[in-house]
Amino acid sequence: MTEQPILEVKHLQHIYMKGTPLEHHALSGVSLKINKGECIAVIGHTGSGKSTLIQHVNGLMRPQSGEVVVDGMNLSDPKLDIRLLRRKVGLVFQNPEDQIFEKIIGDDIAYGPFKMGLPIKEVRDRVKWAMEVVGLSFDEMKDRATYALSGGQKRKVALAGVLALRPDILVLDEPTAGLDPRSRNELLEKLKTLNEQEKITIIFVSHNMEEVAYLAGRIYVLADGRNLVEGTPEEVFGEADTLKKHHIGAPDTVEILGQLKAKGFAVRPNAYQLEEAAKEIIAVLRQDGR
Amino acid sequence: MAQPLIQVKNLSFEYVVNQTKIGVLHDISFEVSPGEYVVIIGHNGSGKSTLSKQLNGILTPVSGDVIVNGWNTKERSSIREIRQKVGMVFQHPDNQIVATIVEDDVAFGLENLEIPPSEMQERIDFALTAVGMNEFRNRPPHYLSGGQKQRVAIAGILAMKPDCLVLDEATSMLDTHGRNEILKVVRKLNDEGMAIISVTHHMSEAAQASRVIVIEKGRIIMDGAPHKIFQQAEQLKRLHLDVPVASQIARKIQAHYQDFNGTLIHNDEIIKEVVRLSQREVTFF
Ligand SMILES: Nc1ncnc2c1ncn2[C@@H]1O[C@H](COP(=O)(O)OP(=O)(O)OP(=O)(O)O)[C@@H](O)[C@H]1O
Ligand SMILES: Nc1ncnc2c1ncn2[C@@H]1O[C@H](COP(=O)(O)OP(=O)(O)OP(=O)(O)O)[C@@H](O)[C@H]1O
Ligand SMILES: [Mg+2]
Ligand SMILES: [Mg+2]
Repeated sequence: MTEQPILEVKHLQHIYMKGTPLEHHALSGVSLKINKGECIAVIGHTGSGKSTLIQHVNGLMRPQSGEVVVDGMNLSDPKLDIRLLRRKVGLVFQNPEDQIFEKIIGDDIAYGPFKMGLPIKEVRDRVKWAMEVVGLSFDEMKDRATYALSGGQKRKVALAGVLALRPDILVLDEPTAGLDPRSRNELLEKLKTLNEQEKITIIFVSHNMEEVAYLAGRIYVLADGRNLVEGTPEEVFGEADTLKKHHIGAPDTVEILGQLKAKGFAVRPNAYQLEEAAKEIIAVLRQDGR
Repeated sequence: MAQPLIQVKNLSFEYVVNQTKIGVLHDISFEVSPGEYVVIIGHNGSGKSTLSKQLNGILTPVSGDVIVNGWNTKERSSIREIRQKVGMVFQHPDNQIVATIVEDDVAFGLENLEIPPSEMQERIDFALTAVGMNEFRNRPPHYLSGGQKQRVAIAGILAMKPDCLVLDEATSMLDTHGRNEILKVVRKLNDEGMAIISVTHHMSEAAQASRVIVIEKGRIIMDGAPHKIFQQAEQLKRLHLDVPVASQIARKIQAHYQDFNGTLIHNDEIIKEVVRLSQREVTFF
């Protein structure tokens, strides 16, 4: 393909507290290549470097060594226009409290679009739209205090604040942690629509393999700050042994099929979708019956 | 019958924001016995964290009472004893972590309990090993990843060995594997007699409890064994909740293969059911 990737990460390294006794190698040469309009999941064990990696994408962290290029902008370039980069890349942190600054929900979500210099009407429309996407009622919630929120409500406010910027690239660190099942499903559907219809590139970190299976076109698996496996969900979940060895869980469907296969049943262990997994099991039961 | 460890009697609670009262919990009553394993589910903002914080007196009722082992949480003189009985892991680990070194953080709760130093070290080792954070014991907790912080927060409470462990989405940032590891520890402690009250949005985790309480807009609307609760898929969906994946698979299979038990809720049960049905068919010949 001649297409220029919208994000390219080459041999990225990051050492925390470099030169101290607590020096820690969080990234030891990670590479990614993501095209415009892709939806990519980054998965891996606790501490494998996922959050460190994606904080590089909007310039929050600069490469210590290796390269990060976002839509032609090289993050090692000292003359990098960070404001331009931040308009292109919206990052939602793993911890929503790191991201909520204003006292009132509506103001907090409006902050970014307002700073972009958009007209008030447009800002308001965007806030309304973003709140709807995350499932917060505009009328009921816009004037509520941000401190007086439940955990899930805080995550929704943080997500809405970044969605309202309407970035070309959305980078989400555990976007559904703490959301109830309905809110999670609705958010996932809306992210899918944004990706498929508006060609927004999405890069998300998740530990929920069901949602990785639902949303991601491709998956990068990290282990100890290095690339372990990459591929389509089908390919990656097919590497059950490798994933297990690195303490990475699979969707429940894959778990169940894997255990059945280990017991000698002729199932395809990477049929991760619910419908498909059920079909595999039904086929086994019918065959045994004949 | 064993005397309940926690009695919640007609509990109502409201927050005051800008002089306006917001009612969050309404006339809640339930009891938790020693050694029970209760999971609380409910949609975002339904009042789960607010309820959890009532169980060891972090918040106290506006009306009604919470009685822990005979002590009323409104009587502040017994608050130490109450906190010793009921330990809580917060939804957000940063709200819990206080010390500048992981090990000290785990020790912090113990110092308040006046545990002798020799036993203290033992408990810290136990707790850090239980959550898989031993190798991080000398690190500053604020330099840990999200999931690592959650593990440290859990260790801090485990070390206190409370009679009742309250977990408010304490594993929300862990992957399936990490969550299962912690759940294994929790189940073991439960087998040894510790009562567990766990708030979660993971229905497969809820399926492992002996009792599930569903709350909606600050009221308890269901309370029963997980096998019972998770048969009510439609109602749960209306409440913004769901059933475990195993349960969804069981129902799908049953729709096409009637002999299959559609009420199953655990992955293991699915495996056993497939084995059972295929063995039965084999003996037909
Ligand atoms: N500020 C920091 N200073 C020192 N070490 C850090 C810092 N932040 C993270 N680390 C370490 O770097 C490694 C990678 O952390 P990172 O937050 O990227 O992990 P992660 O894959 O996002 O994990 P999780 O799934 O738990 O969120 C971890 O071992 C962590 O302890
Ligand atoms: N400190 C506070 N002051 C005022 N209102 C609050 C406060 N904390 C929470 N609330 C409100 O009380 C209600 C219940 O919140 P709570 O945190 O108990 O919900 P929850 O069930 O734990 O939700 P989640 O699943 O999102 O964690 C919510 O509507 C929330 O906005
Ligand atoms: Mg992280
Ligand atoms: Mg909560």
